[in-house]
Amino acid sequence: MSAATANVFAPLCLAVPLLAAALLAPFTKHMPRWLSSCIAAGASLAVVGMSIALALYTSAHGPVVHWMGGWTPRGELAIGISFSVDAMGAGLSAFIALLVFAATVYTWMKFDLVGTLFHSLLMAFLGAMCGYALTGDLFNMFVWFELMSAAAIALTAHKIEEAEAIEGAVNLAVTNTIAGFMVLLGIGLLYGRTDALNLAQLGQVVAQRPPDALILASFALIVCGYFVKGAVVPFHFWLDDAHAVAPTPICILFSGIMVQVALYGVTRIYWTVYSPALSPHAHEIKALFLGVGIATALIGAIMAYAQRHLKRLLAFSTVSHSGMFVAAMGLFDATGVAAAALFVLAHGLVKSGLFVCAGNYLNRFRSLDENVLGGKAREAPLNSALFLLGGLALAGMPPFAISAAKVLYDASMKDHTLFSVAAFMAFASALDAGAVLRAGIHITWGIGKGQQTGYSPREEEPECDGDRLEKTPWTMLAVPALLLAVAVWVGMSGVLWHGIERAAHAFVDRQYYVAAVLHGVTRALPRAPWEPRTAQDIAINLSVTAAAIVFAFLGLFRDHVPQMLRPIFGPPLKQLRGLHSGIYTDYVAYMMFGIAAYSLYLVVAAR
Amino acid sequence: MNAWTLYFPYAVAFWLFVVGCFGITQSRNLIHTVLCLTVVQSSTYMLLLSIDFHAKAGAPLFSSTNPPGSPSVDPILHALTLTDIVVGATVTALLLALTVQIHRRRGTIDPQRLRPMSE
Amino acid sequence: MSIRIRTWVYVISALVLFGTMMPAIGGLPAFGSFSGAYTDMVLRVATMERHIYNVPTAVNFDYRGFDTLGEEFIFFTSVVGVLFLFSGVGSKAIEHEQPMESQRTRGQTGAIRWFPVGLTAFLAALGMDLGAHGQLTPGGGFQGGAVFGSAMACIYLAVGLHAFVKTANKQVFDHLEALGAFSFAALGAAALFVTGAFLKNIMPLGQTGATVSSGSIYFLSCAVFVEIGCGFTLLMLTFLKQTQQTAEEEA
Repeated sequence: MSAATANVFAPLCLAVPLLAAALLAPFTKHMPRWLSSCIAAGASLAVVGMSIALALYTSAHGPVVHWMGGWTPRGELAIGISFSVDAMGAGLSAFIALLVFAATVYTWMKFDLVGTLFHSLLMAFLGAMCGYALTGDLFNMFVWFELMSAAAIALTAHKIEEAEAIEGAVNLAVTNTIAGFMVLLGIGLLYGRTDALNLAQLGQVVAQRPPDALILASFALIVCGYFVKGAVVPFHFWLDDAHAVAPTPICILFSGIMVQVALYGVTRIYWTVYSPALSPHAHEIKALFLGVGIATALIGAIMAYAQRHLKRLLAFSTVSHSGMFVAAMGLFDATGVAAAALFVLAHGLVKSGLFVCAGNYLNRFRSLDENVLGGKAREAPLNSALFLLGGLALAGMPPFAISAAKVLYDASMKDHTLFSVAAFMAFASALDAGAVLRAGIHITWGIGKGQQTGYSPREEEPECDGDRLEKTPWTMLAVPALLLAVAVWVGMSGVLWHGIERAAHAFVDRQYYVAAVLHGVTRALPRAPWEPRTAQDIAINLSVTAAAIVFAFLGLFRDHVPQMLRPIFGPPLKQLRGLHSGIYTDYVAYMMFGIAAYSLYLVVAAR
Repeated sequence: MNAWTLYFPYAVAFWLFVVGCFGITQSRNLIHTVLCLTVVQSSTYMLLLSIDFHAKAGAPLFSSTNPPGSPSVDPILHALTLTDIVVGATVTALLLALTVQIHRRRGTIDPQRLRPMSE
Repeated sequence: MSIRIRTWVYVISALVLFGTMMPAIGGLPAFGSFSGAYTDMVLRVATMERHIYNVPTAVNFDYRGFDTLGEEFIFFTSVVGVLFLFSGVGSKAIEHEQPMESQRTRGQTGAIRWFPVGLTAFLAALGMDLGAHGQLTPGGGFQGGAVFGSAMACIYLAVGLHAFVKTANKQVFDHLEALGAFSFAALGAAALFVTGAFLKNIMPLGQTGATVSSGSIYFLSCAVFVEIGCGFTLLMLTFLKQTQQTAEEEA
């Protein structure tokens, strides 16, 4: 592939979905359904193909920098907006488009679409996420973030006949809008100091002076704003409300990639803009990210365990995994970034498969409540098998990819002798995988007692045309099967691991990025050490899986748990669940608490 | 002129942000929430445009009487603010549409009475 | 969470936030003294390079035109979203033969009827002027489109909902709005295939100060005008039709 082709592919990854969105919107009544599905699927496949080609090209030749409008930098001054595509960004873009393609396939035959505006919104969502992953300009990132939010609001309220769907969308809208304004305040502060908006150039300017209150404040504002989208404590409350009511393909996208894309944005901004200035305080910032990551992982896992609504359970599991990503990022080195990237890939595939299985239950049995479904799923053996397999994959059972991620993850933990952090992460993953397994076992075989607490609507409408499906259509079964198969490939593919390691080494190298963006000097990805899997790593993964199975059975047979444990766990759990009230007024109060805490910590600790 | 007045406009921006969010936490009506979000949004305008101001410079609009090269304020912040305005308008439209639908389904737009997903 | 606890949590956190932001504000340049290399560069070269007088329009549609593409699609997506939210089974606006309310019950006096009639044409023309001449005078597609939208609101005020729905044919405006969004992105893609840079200014630049000048900026501004004007009209149509719906439900 030549440089000119790569240069053309980079903006097309964004332009193709947006053109498809503009094309699909006005012709809703005139197009047969299969045509709009084809256009949407075709656009997402095109983006997958172009992104994979870009990823391969950038691994061999260095980042592809496309200056919009032809405004190449003058001297070291960037006057236009760039798409700075490196291997990590292109890989993320490919994964985004892959999951959108999976969502399109899922909605192909039976899904109740409420007109084809769904596909138009989906394409706009795809374009926004790809733009966010590929751009090299701070304000441009904000613009794509807002497009993501606008599309997400409309897509969450898809089931407009249900009041809960609209209320979930309102919670999402209010919290994410305030998050966008926080980011914009941070951008304004940074612009006032530097008069620059390009990430590489900002890094150069910010590196010239030691960090003062303004740099720290802008960092706090931008990080907190993107952490709202990334569902990190205490900004995570909107996610479970949105998931409980959003249609299944949208849950796939929210949990599989939207949350992770926001965290990618934080990492990118840190490494390109703030890393030279904040490196004297790296220890404090690392402590912040690790602490927040642990808190998120634990709260997410505990809340997941206390749910009986399948989608809400999976949503809290996403919150928990989001905490693990933040902790992996918080190691602030290449191995941490590589571990987070692989984890994102694996988690996205497995979680999407789980959501599709949950959607299939909804369509067959008209319920997502663990108690109502108890034992019924014997009639849907394939679906239940996939669900249970997904639960085991979430726990990290080899050969699934999350085990590969855990390998890297634990290795990087050992480098830094942070055993306690690794232990918390292992506990959290065992707990939330245990919750999924508990639900799966209870649904399939009806043994044990289902979860009694937690939100569950009185009745739920299935998502497909017509009243109820007698048999799950093959497209809706093929999607989770394929996703899990790809997860196995990701777990076993040494080539992919090594490529991600090399991409991560380039990601944290600011000089590599700046040279490519501002000076047009590119070189291939640096070499990275090869980390083979050891028997010890496989043993760790198997023990976490075993712990998950134990937690699952503990939940099913908890009536036999000694009475004395109840007063210890009962009241704090009740308080925690009370915080998740479902009202956005509380969420905004928690958000203000969060941003105040982050800023106070940063300003005080980095003094 | 005191030194603190040179930074007062920026403080007003953050004050607007805090007050707008306070309105949202006390809100008993979804339309009131939407208007509080407008206040939060105006805090970003305030910050961006206050940074932009220059005492001796004119608008970045040239003509035969105001030739290019005369001192002007920053046009880039103007473009950023324009983008911000459009973003605010769109979110307002979406939230108001959601409000209409909630009123139709539940008969109330008080978030405290909606209590959608409490456990 | 009880309202008192929530209020206290909020007030204390807000005070802490405000306190930590004050030193940050101290690091900004003092009010009225901002300057920088990016600003100076753009001000110096914009008129020369793009034959344009209105520099923020140049920044909006050329230097940072990519941001404007995103902004335009945010607007497009939210209009599509609003149409989507009101497109369910119970929400299809029923076309009535006679209007829902008589003019007297609507509180319409002579002034409300006749003043907007005169204003509509003026506002529509003003909107088109602002949208088409953004490179010369303060204005541009967004501003012109918003003014054009208010011209449509004047039609509603003057003649009522039924006539408004007939005038502003939803199909036409829907297609025009999508055409505006599509043509912006398509112009950028065309530039990509012709010159290798997305959204490059490939049209002839013309003479500075002429009615049609500064190349693609003129056409992009017109595309945005069409999209925003039609988008605002669609939003108003959709929301106003809901009042008709609610009146039916109450009846």
